[in-house]
Amino acid sequence: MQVKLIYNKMEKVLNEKESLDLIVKTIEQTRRRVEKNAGLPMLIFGYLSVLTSLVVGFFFSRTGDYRYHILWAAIPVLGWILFAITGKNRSRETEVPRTHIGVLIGHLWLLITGVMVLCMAAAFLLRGFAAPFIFVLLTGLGVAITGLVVRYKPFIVCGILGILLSFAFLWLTGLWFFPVLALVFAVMMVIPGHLLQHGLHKNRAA
Amino acid sequence: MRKELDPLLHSPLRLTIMSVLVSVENADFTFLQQQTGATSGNLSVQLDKLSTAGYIEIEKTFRDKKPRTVCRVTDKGLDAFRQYAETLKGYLNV
Repeated sequence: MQVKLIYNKMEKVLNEKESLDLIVKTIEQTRRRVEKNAGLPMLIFGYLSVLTSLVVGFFFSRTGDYRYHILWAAIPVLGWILFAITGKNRSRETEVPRTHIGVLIGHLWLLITGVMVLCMAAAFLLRGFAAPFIFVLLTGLGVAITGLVVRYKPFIVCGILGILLSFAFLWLTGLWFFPVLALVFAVMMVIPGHLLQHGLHKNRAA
Repeated sequence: MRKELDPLLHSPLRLTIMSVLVSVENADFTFLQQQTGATSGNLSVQLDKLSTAGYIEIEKTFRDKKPRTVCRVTDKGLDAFRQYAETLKGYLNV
């Protein structure tokens, strides 16, 4: 239950314990409200990555046209657009602020996205550039670091799993390449994203 | 000798405002009002007091042609808040 503090003109004087309790309750209450949809970015980018892997795989395997790889660009472009739209819908009535950790994580993912875009460009220019390996490695690193910063075990575990699985893409080729890629993105991002959202909703209901 | 508690922070509403602001990057007036449950007038008065002391910064902007007041804690305010919490812990031996 949310603690509402009603103040009138005659302010009550707090004793030391009440003051400390007030600080703890307020910080906890603010954190819960701000973190309400903390798993959403992971779900947006996770589902987009899974979907793009399958779409690129489908068209590439049917046509063999290398240009279908341009569709990978949909992940950062659509991802940040969807993230901005959902953020705007959530904050239609009130601007829900971000925590300092949230800002830090946002900057981390912007950096990772920037490096990925550069890798995408390199993959088009240089033949044999191991782009899928680097994408999965960077994503796994991002998820693991996010988990370490917010101290959330599923992110740490799934991120490390992603880092380890990324090396498979140095060898993996053929028909299974894209479905496996989609599966790895699901393990790294979609599953921990849902776990986080479920946990946050459970906490709020309690 | 016991350390004195900062009188500016030793008030329920100002302490709540500071506790919200140390938790986030910044917060607008509506969010602060929702989190504290205070009336607009009372909240404005307390925000002015914290701003005059240099504990918070108040920025008045516009969003979708509507005025918006954004508050953020300053380094001085953060130090004062930390000091206040440490003094409280000292009193309570926690």
